[in-house]
Amino acid sequence: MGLTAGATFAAPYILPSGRLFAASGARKANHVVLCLFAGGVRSLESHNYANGQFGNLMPYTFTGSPVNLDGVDIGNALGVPTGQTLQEQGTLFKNFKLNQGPTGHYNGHATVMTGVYTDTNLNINANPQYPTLFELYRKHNTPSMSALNSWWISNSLGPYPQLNYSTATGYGAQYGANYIQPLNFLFSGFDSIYAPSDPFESQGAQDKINAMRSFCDENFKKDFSNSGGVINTAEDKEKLDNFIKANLQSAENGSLEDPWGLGDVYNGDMYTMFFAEEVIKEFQPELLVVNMQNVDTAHDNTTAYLNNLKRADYALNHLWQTIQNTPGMENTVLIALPDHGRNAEGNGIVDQYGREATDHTGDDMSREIFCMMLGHQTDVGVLSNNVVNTSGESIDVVPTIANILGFDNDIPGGLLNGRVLNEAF
Amino acid sequence: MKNIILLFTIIFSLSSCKKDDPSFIFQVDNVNVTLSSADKNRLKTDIEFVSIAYTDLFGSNISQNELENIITTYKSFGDKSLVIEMIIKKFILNGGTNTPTLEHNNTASIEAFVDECYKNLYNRAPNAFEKWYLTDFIENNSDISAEMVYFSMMTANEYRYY
Repeated sequence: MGLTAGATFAAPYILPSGRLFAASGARKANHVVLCLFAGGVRSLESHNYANGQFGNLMPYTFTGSPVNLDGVDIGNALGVPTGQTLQEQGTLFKNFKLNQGPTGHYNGHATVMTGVYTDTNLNINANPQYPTLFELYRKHNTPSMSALNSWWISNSLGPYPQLNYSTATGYGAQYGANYIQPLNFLFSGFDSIYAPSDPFESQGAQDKINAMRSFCDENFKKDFSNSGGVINTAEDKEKLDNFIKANLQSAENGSLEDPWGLGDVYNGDMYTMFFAEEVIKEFQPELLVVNMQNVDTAHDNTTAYLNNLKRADYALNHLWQTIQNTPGMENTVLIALPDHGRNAEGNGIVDQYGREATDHTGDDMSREIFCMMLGHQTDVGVLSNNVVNTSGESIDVVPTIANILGFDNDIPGGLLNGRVLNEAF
Repeated sequence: MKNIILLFTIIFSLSSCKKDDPSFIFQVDNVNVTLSSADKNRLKTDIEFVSIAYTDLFGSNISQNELENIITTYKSFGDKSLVIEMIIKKFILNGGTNTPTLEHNNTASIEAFVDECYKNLYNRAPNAFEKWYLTDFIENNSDISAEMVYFSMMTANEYRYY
């Protein structure tokens, strides 16, 4: 294995996608999908369930007999895995931590997506001050890739769209990813944007509109696109437009109501993951980040938390199945980790099943998370059935992804403090 | 001293009261002062953009509920130029817009249409080149509708600024 890898790194090689890479900056994989299994997942209900009171509530992710609990009946609709668990298929880091900074959702997200710990001065009303994963990828990857190759798909709005790009000097929107919050855009926003018939759709009409708009732009000295978010090429923009129209039509004809054939069990996390899968199937992006957040119901309803944990568990496995079944997504590494954990002690709010709710206010357990890595036909495979007990941190994710995609050596020194999670390979 | 000042005042007054040369008449014509595109430096906020677009198209204020829905949709998508196109197109296709009438049958009518578009949307008159180009373009493309012109201008950079 070592010899093979060494030979692979010694000379330029062609990835399955047909892209040629120089010997320096060689890739381990051609695609990375990062899933922030977020909303605050306590270790006792996830990777450390053996020490908890409920048992294995994430049977698709972790190895161990699934449990049935009163009120946690969502599992009936979601079934049980018939094949290998994700843990069996990949590498599980069990001693992973959000080691520093507040244990807030945005803090956890910002840390994972910038590779830099946050503090209490984090401004939730502004883009982060350190370059995001998308900017690092689009600026330092060789060759430079279009925005259509990087996606940030979030479960909610608030500060999360800002994680698309930073205010760091030398970076910014021109290196940002395509962003969408599908729940608002496709469902709540449907009436604001969906036009069942488009009289401007013909190529002739488009050409004339573009000609008139270009003429207006030539006579005006400012360019809104410089301050208007991610910039797609005209060709990519057309692809994006067609993709959005197709999904809006699906929303109109009702085919998004039960996309996975599960019945009436969907929550925001599942729809968000569904849309991430649609993006993967359509564009086969090199870098995609998607998050879930609905388990945060744990603040006031633990039974709802446990049900949403099972939904998230199912959705993560579904995402992995889609990656494996999508042509063009060969050579993919999937990484999944929570934003942070939850407190060891309850907060005094007890639900109808007698289960006490939990917050995440910075105790040791609220820093405990897991990190799961899986490889799909990668040249340098992610080890399967591999449990890693050495410590890892949230800030290690960006360096690891940069290493997988082969641009880690091009990132300016001093920008990242984490390490590459080599135990997975 | 008082007498000296009085004397100078009288001399100055007499010398300044000569009749104008009838061959030169100076006066100020009334002119309409309009904004130049070069004066637009400020980017409209998202809320301003949507509110103004609605008012320009429908002649009334957008409801708070609809505004909030559209702003949420706007924030939910990263490519702002594309989502703006979607929002403006949806406005236009909703019908009931007060776009000026475009008649392709004569140049003067098209010129008047172009004038009105610039005034309504860019709050200024077109310069001579803008007026000639767009008039000529519309005249040579009989399938161009008023809505197409409005859509083009409202999705151009100048419409984002004031």
